[in-house]
Amino acid sequence: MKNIFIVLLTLLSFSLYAQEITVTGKVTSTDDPEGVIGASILVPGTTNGTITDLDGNYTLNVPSNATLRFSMIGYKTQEIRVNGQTVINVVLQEDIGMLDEVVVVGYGVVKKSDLTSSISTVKGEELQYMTSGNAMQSLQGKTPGVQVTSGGGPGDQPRVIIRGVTTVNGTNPLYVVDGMPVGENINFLNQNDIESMEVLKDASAAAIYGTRGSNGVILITTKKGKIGKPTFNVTTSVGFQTLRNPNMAGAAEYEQVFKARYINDGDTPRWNSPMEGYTDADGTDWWKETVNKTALIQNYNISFQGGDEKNVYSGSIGYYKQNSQYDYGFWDKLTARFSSEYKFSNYVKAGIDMMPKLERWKDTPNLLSDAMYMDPTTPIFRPEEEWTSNEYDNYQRSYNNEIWNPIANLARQNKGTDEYGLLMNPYISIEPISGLTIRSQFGVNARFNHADEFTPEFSMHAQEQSLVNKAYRKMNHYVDWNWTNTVNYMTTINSKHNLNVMAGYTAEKFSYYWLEGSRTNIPSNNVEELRYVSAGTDGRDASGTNTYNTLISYLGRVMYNYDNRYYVTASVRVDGSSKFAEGNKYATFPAVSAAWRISEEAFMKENQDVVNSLKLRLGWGRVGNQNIDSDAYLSLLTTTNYVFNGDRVTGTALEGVANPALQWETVEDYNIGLDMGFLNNRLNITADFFRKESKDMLLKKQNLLILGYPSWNGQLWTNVGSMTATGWEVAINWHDKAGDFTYDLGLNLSSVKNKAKRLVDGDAIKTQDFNSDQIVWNVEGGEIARFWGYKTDGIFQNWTEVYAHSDENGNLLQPNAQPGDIRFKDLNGDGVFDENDKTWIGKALPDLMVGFNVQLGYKNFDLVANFYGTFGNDIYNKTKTGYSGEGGSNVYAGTLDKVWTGEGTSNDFPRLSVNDPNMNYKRVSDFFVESGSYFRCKLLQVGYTIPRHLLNGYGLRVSLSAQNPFTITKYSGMDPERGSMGGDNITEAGVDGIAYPNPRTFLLGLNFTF
Amino acid sequence: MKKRNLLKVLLWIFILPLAFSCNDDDSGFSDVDGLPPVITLSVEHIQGEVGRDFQITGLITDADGLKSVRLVNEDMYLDKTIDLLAIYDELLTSYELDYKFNVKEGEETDSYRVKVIATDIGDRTTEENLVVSMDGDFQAPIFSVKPDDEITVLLLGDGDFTVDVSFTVTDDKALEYVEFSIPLLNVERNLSANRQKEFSYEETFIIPDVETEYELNILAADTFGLVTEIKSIIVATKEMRDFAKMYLVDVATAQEMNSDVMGIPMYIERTAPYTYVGRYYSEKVGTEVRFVPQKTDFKPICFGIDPEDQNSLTWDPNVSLPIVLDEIAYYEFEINIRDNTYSYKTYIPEDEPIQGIGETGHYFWWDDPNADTYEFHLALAGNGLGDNVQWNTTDCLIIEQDPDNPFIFYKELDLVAGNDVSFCIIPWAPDGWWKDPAWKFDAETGEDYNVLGGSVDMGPKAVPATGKYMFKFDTHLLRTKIYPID
Repeated sequence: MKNIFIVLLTLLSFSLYAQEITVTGKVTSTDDPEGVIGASILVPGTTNGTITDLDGNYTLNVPSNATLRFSMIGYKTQEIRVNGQTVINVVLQEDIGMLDEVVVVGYGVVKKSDLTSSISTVKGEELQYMTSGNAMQSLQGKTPGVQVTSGGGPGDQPRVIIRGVTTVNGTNPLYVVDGMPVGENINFLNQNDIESMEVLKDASAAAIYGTRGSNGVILITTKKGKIGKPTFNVTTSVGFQTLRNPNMAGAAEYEQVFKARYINDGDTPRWNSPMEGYTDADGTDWWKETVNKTALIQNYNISFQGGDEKNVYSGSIGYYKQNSQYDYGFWDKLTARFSSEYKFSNYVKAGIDMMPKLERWKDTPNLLSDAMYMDPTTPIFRPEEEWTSNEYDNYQRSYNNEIWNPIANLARQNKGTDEYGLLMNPYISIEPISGLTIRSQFGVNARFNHADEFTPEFSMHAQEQSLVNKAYRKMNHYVDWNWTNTVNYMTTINSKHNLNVMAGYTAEKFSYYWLEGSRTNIPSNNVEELRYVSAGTDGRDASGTNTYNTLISYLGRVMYNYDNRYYVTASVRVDGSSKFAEGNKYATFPAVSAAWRISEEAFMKENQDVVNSLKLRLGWGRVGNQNIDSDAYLSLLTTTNYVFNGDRVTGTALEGVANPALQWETVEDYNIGLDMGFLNNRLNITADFFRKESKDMLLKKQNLLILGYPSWNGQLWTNVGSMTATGWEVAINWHDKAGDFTYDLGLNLSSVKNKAKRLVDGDAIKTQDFNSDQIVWNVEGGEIARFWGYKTDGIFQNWTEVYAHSDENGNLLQPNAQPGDIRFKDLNGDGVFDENDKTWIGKALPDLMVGFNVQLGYKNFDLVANFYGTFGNDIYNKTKTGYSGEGGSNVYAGTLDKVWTGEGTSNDFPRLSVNDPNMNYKRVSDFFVESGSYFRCKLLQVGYTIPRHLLNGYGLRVSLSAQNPFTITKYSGMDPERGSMGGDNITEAGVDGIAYPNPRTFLLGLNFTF
Repeated sequence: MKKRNLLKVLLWIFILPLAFSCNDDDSGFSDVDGLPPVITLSVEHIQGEVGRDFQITGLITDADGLKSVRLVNEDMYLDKTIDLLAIYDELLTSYELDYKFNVKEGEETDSYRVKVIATDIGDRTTEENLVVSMDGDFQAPIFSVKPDDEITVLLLGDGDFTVDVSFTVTDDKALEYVEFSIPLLNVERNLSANRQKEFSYEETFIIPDVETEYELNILAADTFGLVTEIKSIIVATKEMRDFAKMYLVDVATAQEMNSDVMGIPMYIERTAPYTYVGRYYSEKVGTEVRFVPQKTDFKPICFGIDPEDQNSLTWDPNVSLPIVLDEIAYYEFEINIRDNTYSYKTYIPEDEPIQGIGETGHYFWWDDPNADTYEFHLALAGNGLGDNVQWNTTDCLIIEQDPDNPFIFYKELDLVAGNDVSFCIIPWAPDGWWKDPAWKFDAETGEDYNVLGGSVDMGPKAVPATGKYMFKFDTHLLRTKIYPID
């Protein structure tokens, strides 16, 4: 009986379970015949699966009648029945369209084909071809509507504008890393850690971020673990950067120019150099002495990932360092990332992302201008017999101008910052029933830094000295936390009605603590161990404070589509902010968008050989901006000095006047877009048209003086302004292959017009001071950031032309002019040359932005080329004063040949003049305005992947890169991109006053996988 | 049929515009009389002067409408086209030419023929010529030495009472004649200046022993008929007057009294009726000083030591002797011109000279001990002191402290005749701030009397001749003087 039972049990078991067999095989792809690493093999409906190893091989125990699903991002998923086979080799087909890739949206993900808003996705690997400190620099030109402008100095933060400008209160978008808002700067992020970057461009996408969405939102998802054996990847790139030499005059030409300026004005040259008749060899090439020919840039990264059914993990450690072009100054960052997710059951999983970092700066001094304009007859050092025991005294003061010796300045540099930080995102996700996900995440972003500065005592000259040394330290602590709780429910009803509902609550706090202190008169200049605050014997000074602001939000979103053809998404966010007074703390930001997938209609089916996808999108939304100081709605007092009976008494005075009615700045946004896929989705086109308008823009307004407020400190913040941004953008991408040759071509074009609709009392916002005038004017009804000044009309060639430039009664329009001076136009023809003859002479913002990206592959060779350009913008090139020699400054080489020296010699550059009575170089005029259009090769990279079989299955790619190797432009300044940035605020854009340009960078890169 | 209609339409399309475009000229205006413009110049010969504006005036008419007026002379660098169509919204048939020009360089003998070319709307032109010569004269004679506005003649003692009338008049071109008269004395002189650039005259007149006032008129005319006339009052009195102002003179000649820009003679204070107190710094041993109630001459009254009584003063410029100072020191004088007494003594100022000149410190207005530093200097901020000196504290002229007497600041100046000088004395400040100590000038006396920390900006002082001058300012005496050192 017992035996019968056993036999029956055995038979039963055979009937219940098919026989387990071991299947092995190799997964290759059309473009990787060596083997695809990390492809997933899974028995559908089970957790039984594995991933391929370095050679693309796999082994898996499965029932003999099972089906295997082979999948890999970027390839079409295949399912193959085992049918007792023990060896199954698979060739994955590339999924050119990749329409169903998942796109991260605020507080969720959707399939790309289900998007109703304007969201661009850039994969991390597209960013990682470039070596840069800030991933946004790599994003430049990769997606339309995103204008990235950057300088090239270590740690420089790019200016990012998404679809134009609707506020003067900051233009940078909100960055959200793994669900945690991290502010406006992502320098801390290792771009090798980025899995994908989603740019939420319209309000229907960004409204879910409410008060901080008006400038767009960039969602960054870092790399996560994957099921499979641990794999490691090492990437390195090392190279050097160079700056364009501005080619300044040598001592000989400088002397001639210096003296000509006086002689041309009938004056005796006030030449202070110790000798006459310099040759270039007698002088100092300050550019060469100050600016190194090359600066090292290096980037190392090791990452790993792996996991099993229960736990997936990934991590990385990266080191990036960019040296400045000087002997002093660098920025480096040691970053790490650890990500782990543990699946407790089919209902509960939890994970944590941690990104610790150490950033360091030795502040890069701004000496380019000094190196250009320093008197080249001046030697670096004084004669040795004049040296003192203080090494900082031994440098030579400029003989002929007021510029401080840049080498002495470099020697005195001692300013740096160390910053430690941790971005941590633990979360738990519960799925109690199918389709319902409850998620809670508590993110912390903490940064601590200390900035130290030591200023030595030195005395080179009465105008170039510091009579006391000083040590200074500032401690900054930032601790931000964000608690996000969401409930998400997805379901499909009657297989046609697809519903996705999300509701959430978030609470956030941003804290900033700082303390600074300094002392003077440290006993020694030279003992490095004494360069700390407590070593100072005088001038004790300390201050510090705390700043907080908080935000609580309620948010919700409903996404519905019928039969994957008709889509509607509606979202709302209610934000309450501590930055506003009672009664105005809360604001609501709604958004609605809809899409129609025309290609899914029956009448389009017959065209699917040509048109694979066609979707029309419409969106509307309202987003906000709270980018003002946390205490803007409060009246503030500050300390000040009063004099009573001749004695100074410290007291308090008004610093700011409260406006309790202050509320959010809001932006209303309309978007219409079209997504198209043709020719088996090899050709994809996305086009959008948008209009954004801000209301209640926050501006400072003059208070009523009759109330007794001081004129400056009595200003108060008010909601008075309005701006509009209207534009379009098109992205065209072509992916294809022909035999061993693969190619991807991407072209994106965008254009936006930014207008100021309403400003305070109709007054223009004028910025960029220039000889008691302002260059950039922002006026109501006009495009922002335009140049307002005089029109020039060539150079007076002789006295006849000077005298003929008069009104009908012979009154000279420019009575101080003489031959060789600039002729300015009497634009209004009233016979008087004055302020009323000013007009618009240029604009800082472009008409068109173009990105062009190429990826070519042939067998094991690949080539990546990225181009970016702007067209239609102008730059006010202040560096043209480099042809004037003003203030005894050095000039560009060849100045003597370029400037006017007699009739017919030049119609472009005026005569040399020490007094410049005609104000050739002192008036805001189109003499300084140049086209800022440029088209730059951002990256040119050639790579070769060594066949795996030569390296025992390891993967190795070698690449040579050139970043910014060439630029097509008519702009004569150092860098049209940096020049177009101008000041920090967008209202100051377009004025080039010599800032650190984007260097040319040449790199050797290795990518090793094992 | 259809083709024929089409042809008709095409024909109309091409012909119609041609028909409407037919006109007298391309400008779109029709001729009225088809005649060229008429130019009527106000004068055909302008006598100008190098460096001086002159006007070309006249009336230009054209019934068809004027297009432009062009003035040309290559040697004058004149080639001006007045584009009337661009300037005026309407077509002009009459235009009053009034064009100012200036020949900057050249000789008095230069002469230019200027073409005036008028063009009408039909491009018909008319040309007229006028001559511009550089032999004009526009500057009236200048009295470089002249009698004071008020001259006092004391009718005291025996003998004839006299008044000396002396003056010097100059002209940039040539003087024609000089006239002067004292009607009450029946004096009338008509003097030929012989076309010279400078004319000096001196004559002594006897004044009757009667207290009265005489009006003195002097008139100078140049060869172009430009005249300058001055008037003085001669007060004949039997009593010494209680002069409102008194001056200390440390120069020897009337010429030196008139060649300064300011400060000579030096104003002293009237402390009581007929009593004047003055403080003075003697820079060298043997300095001679006297006192005058008039600023421009020693005559008719000059107080000095009476040669017959060394302890008394006398007013007679012919006999009074200077007080000779035998020390380098500060002196204080007190004179009483009614009692004819005087006294003087040396003294040491009780106030402190300005400290810290040339020393480097944290003088920036933001008063940050760690901020940049600069040297402390006093300076002149103002006009007429050179192209690089402005009315601000940055572009100003630093003055030197006298190492021998720290109360005194000095600076050598290059001044240009005809320029007006005005300034205040302030600390040089590269931050642009106006700081203490600062000196302006006394508003009440109108004299060159400095006031620390207030009062008014000085009125413009004309530079009499181009050349080098010495500026001196005494912080103790609060006096400024600028005098030639060539």
